[in-house]
Amino acid sequence: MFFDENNRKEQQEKPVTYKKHLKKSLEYNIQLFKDIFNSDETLVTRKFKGPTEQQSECGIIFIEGMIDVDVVNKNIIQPVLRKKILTREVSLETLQEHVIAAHKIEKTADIEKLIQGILIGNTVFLLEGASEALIITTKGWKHREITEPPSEKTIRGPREGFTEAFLTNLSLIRRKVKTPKLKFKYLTLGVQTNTKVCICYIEGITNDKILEEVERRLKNIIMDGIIDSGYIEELIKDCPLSPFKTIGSTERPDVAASRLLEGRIAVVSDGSPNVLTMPYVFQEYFQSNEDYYMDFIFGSINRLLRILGFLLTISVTGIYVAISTYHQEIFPTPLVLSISAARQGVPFPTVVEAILLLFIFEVLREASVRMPEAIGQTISIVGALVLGQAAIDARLFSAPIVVVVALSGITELIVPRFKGANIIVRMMLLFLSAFLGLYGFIFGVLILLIHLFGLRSFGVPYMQNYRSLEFQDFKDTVVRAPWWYMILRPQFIASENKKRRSLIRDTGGEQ
Amino acid sequence: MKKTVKAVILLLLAVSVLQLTGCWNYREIDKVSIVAGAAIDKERDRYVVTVEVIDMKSGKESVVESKIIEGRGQSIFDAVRNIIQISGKRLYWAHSKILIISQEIAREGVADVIDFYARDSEPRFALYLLISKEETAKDIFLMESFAEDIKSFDIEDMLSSEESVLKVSGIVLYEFINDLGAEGKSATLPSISLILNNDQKRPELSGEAVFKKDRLIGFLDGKESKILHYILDETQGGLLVGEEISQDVDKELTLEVFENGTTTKIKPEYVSGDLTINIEVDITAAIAENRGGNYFVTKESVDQMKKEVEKAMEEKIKNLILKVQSEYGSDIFGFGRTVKADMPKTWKKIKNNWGDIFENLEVKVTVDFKIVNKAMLSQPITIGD
Repeated sequence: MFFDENNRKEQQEKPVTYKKHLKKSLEYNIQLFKDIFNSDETLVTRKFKGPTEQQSECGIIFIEGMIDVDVVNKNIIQPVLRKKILTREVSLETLQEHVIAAHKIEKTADIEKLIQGILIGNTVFLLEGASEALIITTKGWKHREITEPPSEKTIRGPREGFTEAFLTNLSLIRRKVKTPKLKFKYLTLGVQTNTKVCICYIEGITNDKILEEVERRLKNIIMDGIIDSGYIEELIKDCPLSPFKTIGSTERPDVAASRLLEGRIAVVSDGSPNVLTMPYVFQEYFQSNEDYYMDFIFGSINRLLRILGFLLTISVTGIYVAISTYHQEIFPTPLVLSISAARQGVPFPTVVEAILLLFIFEVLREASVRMPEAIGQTISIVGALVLGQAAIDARLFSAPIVVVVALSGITELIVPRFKGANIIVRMMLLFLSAFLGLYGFIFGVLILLIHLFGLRSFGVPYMQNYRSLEFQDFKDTVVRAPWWYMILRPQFIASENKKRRSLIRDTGGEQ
Repeated sequence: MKKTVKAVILLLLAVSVLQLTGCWNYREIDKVSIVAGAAIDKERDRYVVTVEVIDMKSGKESVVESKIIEGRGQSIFDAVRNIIQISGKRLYWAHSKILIISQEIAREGVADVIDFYARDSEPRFALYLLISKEETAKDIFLMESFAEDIKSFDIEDMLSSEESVLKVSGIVLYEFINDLGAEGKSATLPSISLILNNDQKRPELSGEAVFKKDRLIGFLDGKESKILHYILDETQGGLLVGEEISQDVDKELTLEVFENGTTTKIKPEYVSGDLTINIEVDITAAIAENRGGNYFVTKESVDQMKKEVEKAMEEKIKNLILKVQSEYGSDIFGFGRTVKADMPKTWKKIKNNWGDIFENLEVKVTVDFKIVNKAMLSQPITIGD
């Protein structure tokens, strides 16, 4: 789907394959690894031996900084040094079962696996006279604390956020959904980065077809590196050229868990605090986890505000330009007079004013995101005083257009998730309005609707909530219905086990 | 191959859609002269269109003023186009509020004049029409504006707040066109004149202008117009003062008619070839001002007043109808329309000589007057020593 069939076969070959095997000689084996990690000075190899001469020599290989030093010292090296049973006949099995104190040990002769183990922070244990090796889980590197994600702050609700640590993220999800039906499937993506990716879903709620499709798409990814889940999102999303998201992403475990409960699938990628959820429908732009934690009345009001904000931000400049340049008769007379008075002596046509100001707004927005906090005031001074007041006083821009663009800009920030989509749709509507008036505006709205209704996310129609005839599907759209009223899960996603809530305790579904 | 054909067809369709925008164009709001109102006169064979355009001066505080420009031409549109030479900007009519027509033109027929305003896409159908009682229509623009800086908006305000004075009722373009075309109803338009008020020229809405077909045939004064609106059931409140309510007693009494306190029913009766119109007027009012004379404290005095008012109103209504029947012969009361609605078969018989029938029509008037309260004072103000 993403690559040509012929291309894929060529690319699927891994770039490095190690044909060599472990031999019985410890010296040889260690040298083997040293050769593979040639000129990588973070690789540490250490040989050691028990207290008596008869004992065979052992070796461990790990990467500095990736391991928990305590575990390696106390649980691997110390027991081996102290135990006297290590005669020449001792086998890896004995060591695994009686000596090494680690919670997870794997015995293998597969050199590929051993290399992977070293790379993810495990320790490889070699024994003189054994052509196999142990992979001992000793992962222990520094990672970020679990903190509230700054991009999705809430007033009410859990304050945990995903971190960059893969297993921590999985545990955060697991802690919310304590059922064996919550499944985690591992995949490794990225030819160079060997990033671990995990597909999470709840068996019995998730639609199997969607699950299959997600797996198929993930397996088709051939890329040298997956640094963030954003790579995956872009590679597997439907309609890749659309500015609208068809895959959701969240930094919050509670959001991920609630989406799992609605039958969605989460994809956790190692090293990324953003967990992908799919399918993603248009409605989810307007949903916030807080809607569900606060009472439904306040939640519904907020949701209506967000929808209004979206409609305003895409349309208000377009409508203003259309009316003030084509249909002045629509304005009430006093408004026409004040706009006309404000425009006297302004050098640019209204459209040019609108485009310039929108451009300036986007520049200010982008600048304030990337800027150190210490110089944050510059932006507000430049934005408010220079561009706002002085530009009007100097008659570069008329006051009404500044108000309109500011309104459009502020409402853009109500739903920050829209990002590029807002800007593109707004510009399209603005150009069409400037070109054809309200007729062009309606034209643009039609194009937008056709596009949105044509989109699908993993087989689920993007606008399902808005075209469904099922009453249950409406309950979580423009308003958030009270929990006691939302009996069914979104039916187009969770196809099997539909009941979210039951009036009687015993028939609560088999979940 | 098929795909390219499809793409080309789609492209052609998309392009052809662009042609369906109709008649509109990109025009910056500051590049047009906004017309607030216009007056139309005739000078020999040429039309003189006088427009009041809004003139804006920008600055820290924008100033809105009006300018009067005059254009002449063979037709109205010609005159309007000729104004561009003077103003330098195209006139923009969508926000014009009033159109004043001179008596001279109105007596020849207004249909010729309003044709342009109804036909052109810019002027609204909600444009107030007025007949100037002055020598020319443009004289009205000599007035001093009062509430607003724009004279036309001043006049518009007067027309829309007229319901509490009742002398005229504002008629907008589409209503007038409907009236012109209607069977059994002649049109009226408010008339406007200038008066001296506090040494300044102010416009005054001075009663209805009566039309027969599209020609002006006379004027009703303010008091007659008020009665006309009672008959037309267009009254929404207003006052009844002095001799309007009584002929001799209680001249100092002022009654305030409630909003929606008046209902008028017109019932035609057709008995053996004779058409009679029964008019029933119900008025509900309160005492608004009472100077001297009777205080209406007792039930008898209130009943007395009620009878007086009913008698006076009946007389007024009858007199007005008689005057219109004899002087103008123009059915501005819409009796014919009522007959047509209530007795369509009879209407078919008589509609061809409705003019004659109207002039000799017998009209019976009954007024039912109710006094509801005495506002804030139940007792008159006591005057002691």
